[in-house]
Amino acid sequence: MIPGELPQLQKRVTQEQVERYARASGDFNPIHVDPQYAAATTSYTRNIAHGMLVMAFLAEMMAAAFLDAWLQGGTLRVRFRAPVYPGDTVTTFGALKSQHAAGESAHLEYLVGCRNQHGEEVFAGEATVDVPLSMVEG
Amino acid sequence: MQHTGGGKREIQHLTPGNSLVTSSLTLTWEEIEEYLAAVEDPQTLYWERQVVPPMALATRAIRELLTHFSLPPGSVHMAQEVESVAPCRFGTALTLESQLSQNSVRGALRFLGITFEVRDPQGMAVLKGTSTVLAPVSAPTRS
Repeated sequence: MIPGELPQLQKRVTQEQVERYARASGDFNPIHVDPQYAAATTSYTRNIAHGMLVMAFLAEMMAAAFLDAWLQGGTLRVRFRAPVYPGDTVTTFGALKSQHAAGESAHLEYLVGCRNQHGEEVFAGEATVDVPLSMVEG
Repeated sequence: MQHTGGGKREIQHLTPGNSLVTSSLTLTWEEIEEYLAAVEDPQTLYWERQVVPPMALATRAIRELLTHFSLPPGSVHMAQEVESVAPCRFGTALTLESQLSQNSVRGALRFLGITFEVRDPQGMAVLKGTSTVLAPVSAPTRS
């Protein structure tokens, strides 16, 4: 059976993680890693997490739910609607929006995103994945 | 996304349709391990299949772009699309091609769209992506 709601992930983002991600990604934009720059020149007033770091949480949710199907044709489209700050706890969500048969597969579309600890939707978008038709019929 | 100066081309001066970069890239298991540790993803599927996590590949593609181009100070990554077309095994020699798809100004903000495609040695796409970046038209001075 295909899940109507995807299992949520809860992640606490830390400045240490943001710095680890900066090293892994090569993205040392001071808005992420330099508190003085963020305070002096941005409306955020403090560092924010990389969008791609938080987006990785959604990819983790999709991979956990769909395994190989996610690697073969999975798509993720996300708008970064609000900043995620170090110290925030974000929770992912995914809800089935539509499904239709496409040959031997079923094309699934999920509304996905992340909310912060205040319930604010910080990321929102869509994910698609093609799964064997038997998974839908089962 | 990173902004830097120093000898890089400034992406905001380019015209939509301009090719940005064509370059080679390879993800080793060490890089993938570093990436998965950074995002704290415990998924074992990638190790079992020896397959690159799609978001690690997208991150690597953007990193490659940022070695050639600078973004205006204060740029913020607004949206991202990633399509994992096909699994890509660790260590595969890949080719990255990218293009500027949007460069428009609305008020004090510039909208930059960057599309990229990563191909395997047979020329087949393994990953496609689009990044949307919002940049101030008048860049603030870094303190």
